[in-house]
Amino acid sequence: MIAPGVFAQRPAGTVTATDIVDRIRGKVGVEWKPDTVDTFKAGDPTAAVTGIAITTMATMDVLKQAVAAGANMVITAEPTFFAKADNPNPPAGRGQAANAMPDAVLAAKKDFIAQNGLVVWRFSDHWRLRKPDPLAQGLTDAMGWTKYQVAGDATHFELPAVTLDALAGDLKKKLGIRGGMRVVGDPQSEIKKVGLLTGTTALAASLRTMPTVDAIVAGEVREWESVEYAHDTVAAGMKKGMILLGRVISEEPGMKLCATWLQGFVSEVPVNWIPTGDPYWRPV
Amino acid sequence: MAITAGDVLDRIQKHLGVAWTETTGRDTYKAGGPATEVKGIATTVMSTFDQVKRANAEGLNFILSHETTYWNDRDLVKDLADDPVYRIKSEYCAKNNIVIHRFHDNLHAMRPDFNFQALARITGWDKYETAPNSRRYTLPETTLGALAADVAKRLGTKALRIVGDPHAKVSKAQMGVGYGMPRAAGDVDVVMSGEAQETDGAVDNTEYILDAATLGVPKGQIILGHAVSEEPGMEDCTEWLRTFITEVPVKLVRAGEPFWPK
Repeated sequence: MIAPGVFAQRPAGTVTATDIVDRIRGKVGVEWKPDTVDTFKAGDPTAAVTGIAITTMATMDVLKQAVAAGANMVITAEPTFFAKADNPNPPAGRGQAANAMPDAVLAAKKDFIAQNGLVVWRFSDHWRLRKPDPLAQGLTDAMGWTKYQVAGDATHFELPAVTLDALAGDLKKKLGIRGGMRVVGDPQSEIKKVGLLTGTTALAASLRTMPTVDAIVAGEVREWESVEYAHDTVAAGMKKGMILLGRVISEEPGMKLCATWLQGFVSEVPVNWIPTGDPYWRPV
Repeated sequence: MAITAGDVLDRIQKHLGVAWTETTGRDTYKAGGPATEVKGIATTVMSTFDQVKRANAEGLNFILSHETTYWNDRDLVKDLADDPVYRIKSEYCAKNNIVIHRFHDNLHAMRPDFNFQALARITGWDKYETAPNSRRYTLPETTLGALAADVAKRLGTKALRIVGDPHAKVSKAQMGVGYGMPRAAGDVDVVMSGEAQETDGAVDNTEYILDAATLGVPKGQIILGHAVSEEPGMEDCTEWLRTFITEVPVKLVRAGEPFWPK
């Protein structure tokens, strides 16, 4: 939570949301590509920005916190309107009649955005392409692993020996995971070498990483792909493991880093990070 | 009397009740072939290496697996030739005369679909289905927290994940299995299935339900785990196979939950 009024303490500048995006494009160090998800999703891009809230996923809870803190521009790594297409007026979907009642959750979110003059912009494709990988960098820092990083490789680490179980417990605590963590492997296996796969990754990434490490720490992978590959790796007699953090959790520190980065070239308005939090819980 | 893997497949196709299809490349041999003599059949949700070894130890050399063997939907192995785990698993199968055949699309084409039927029965949802094969249930009103706890207990799953307010009152439920998660929007309170992408997909239930919770709209999503959601159905599949395969033992050899919660 950000205390109410944090944003309001400074006078609003005359910078618009489009100005902010133009600055980001100029600073990101990655060639700007057409047809990416990095576009405005809601609101008026020409609106004067009062404050910027950066988050992993622009949930209603995050939007409310942004408004309470006086920010009207929200930069999110993930969608706002419940699909990659991010369409605030989605066509009737599978299993829904074309004349279905307007959806209450979607309608309420759109109303909240409109009533509070919010501008939502997604920043994902280009941020992920930046070198060194800011999502890996942020997560590394949050896990306290910077000192264990293999020289010149943002995603490989040599840890002091630890059991898979203890490592999972440590990461759960450091990353504020509620109920989303899942682990493959013998809890007592000794882990030293670790590879990091942030976000959602395909089998190829696990095939590339697993042979060189004791454990993979990943955001999200498919169960019949990387999970069973890790499971079979263990069954083949290798003392290895895989820790799944959750996609949002794996990206949170990278978006915190994005806020810090933005503060370096946006001085007219406050820039703050609002965590989304672990979406999951499980019954005890 | 000796029976081959090809004979087993012929009989499955004959008793399926719908036209056999393998156009997607899913329901094909993943190890061995039709000429191999079958000593016993092990059904499973997933032919994991651990499962294959346990089946072999029981003398069951034909594995009928609902899901993949080599960690991708079409079981393509072209890029796996140098992978150490692929080499160990494939060499084990060859050395032990193991036959693996997938049974996915055709199982789901059957009515009833074993996987839906068994999951509904074990969760106790079956008696509340609104129409046969609708996979829609009007449950006695409960809370999302109580429902999730009940389902976890009945299935013996530990690593399930729930999205939504635990106190949300739910009754209208829609069930999926495997990677098929019903959408949470619309006239439904709670959706349940095996696996679902967290965000950035065609339908992002997770963000939708988080927002519903913030707005006080009662919605929930129960993510059981892919294998957990479909393993019960392979028990029903086993019973079915026994009605037309009597020469050799037919047994469910569970793959189990691949991960543990922390």
